[in-house]
Amino acid sequence: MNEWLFLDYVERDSSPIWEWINDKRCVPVKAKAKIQRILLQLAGTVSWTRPLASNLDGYPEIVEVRIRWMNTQYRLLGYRGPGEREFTLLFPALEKGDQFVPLNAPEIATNRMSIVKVDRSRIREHSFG
Amino acid sequence: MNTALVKRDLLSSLRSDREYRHAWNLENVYTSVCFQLRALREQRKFSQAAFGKEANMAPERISILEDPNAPTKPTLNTLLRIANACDVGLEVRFVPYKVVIDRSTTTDLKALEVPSFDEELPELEASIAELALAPMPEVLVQGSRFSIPYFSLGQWTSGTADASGGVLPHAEMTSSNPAGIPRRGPFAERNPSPNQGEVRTENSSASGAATPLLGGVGTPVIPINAKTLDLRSRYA
Repeated sequence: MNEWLFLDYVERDSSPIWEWINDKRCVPVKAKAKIQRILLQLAGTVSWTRPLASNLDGYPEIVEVRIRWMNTQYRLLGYRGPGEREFTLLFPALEKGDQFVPLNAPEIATNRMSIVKVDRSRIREHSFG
Repeated sequence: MNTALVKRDLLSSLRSDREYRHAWNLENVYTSVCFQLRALREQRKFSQAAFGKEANMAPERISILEDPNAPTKPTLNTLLRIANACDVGLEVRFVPYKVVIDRSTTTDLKALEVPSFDEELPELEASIAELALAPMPEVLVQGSRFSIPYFSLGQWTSGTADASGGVLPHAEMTSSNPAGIPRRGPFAERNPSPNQGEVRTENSSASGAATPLLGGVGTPVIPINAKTLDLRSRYA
């Protein structure tokens, strides 16, 4: 489980990723279990492969982790950094009809990535609880 | 990543929400299977197509089996076919959540690799030969050392009979006690492990009838039931 350290982007002393994943209106309990279990598995996997994870076309460095639960397509956007073997979760989105919800999810993720790159205080270790 | 912290967080969630616990159980099984299948394939240096040929399945099927997002889940029969293609065992059993948490946090693909039967054979033969050479006690009385086969794990356990009618294991190495830490008290009572079904230390048998004791009158002993005696005679 030591290949990747998962980190969460932090804003105003809070992690939007953590809040999202623990909000049952956004992520049902069963979906949360699936997301957390897959993230835990990826933490121990050196090379991530499609279709579970892939680079996002048009957004250098941004990686999407694709998790399907029932008929909902969750897309966790993140990037490999800021440190070696670290992966920062930047923004949680959905995919509906080949489009992100919200539409500007990749832009938000890219913006957050640039913040994290210069300020490590804007990240904290991801909680698998 | 700090495994202890991850386990602590995971336990916190599992403890506070029964629905989450059950959901985790489900996802743990399927995610583990998907990634272990990939680990087994890569260990054998197979492409999905080559592995499919080995398991008599279409390559697309292997791809689906390795995808935790796939809507179809493997059946036991499919898993057995994969196990046979890899020449490895398949175990399906109920376990305490400690095991679930341990396995959930053992996600390194290397740790999921399993040697084929031929690869493990020398080690298997050596461990069974060692087991066969271990001595058996004649009578189990207080203070005596004992040695009884731990069949579920294919290993021996040993200890000392104590005054409470239980045993104090010396080096009981089980899945729930890998360090072999000694614990006092009636063996079956203090160690409710599913692995100890062959060894009874209570004063009654499974049917409720009195269990015959070995040793003299007034001597605290380890009760031995008919099943254990049968095992002793088989392995004497």
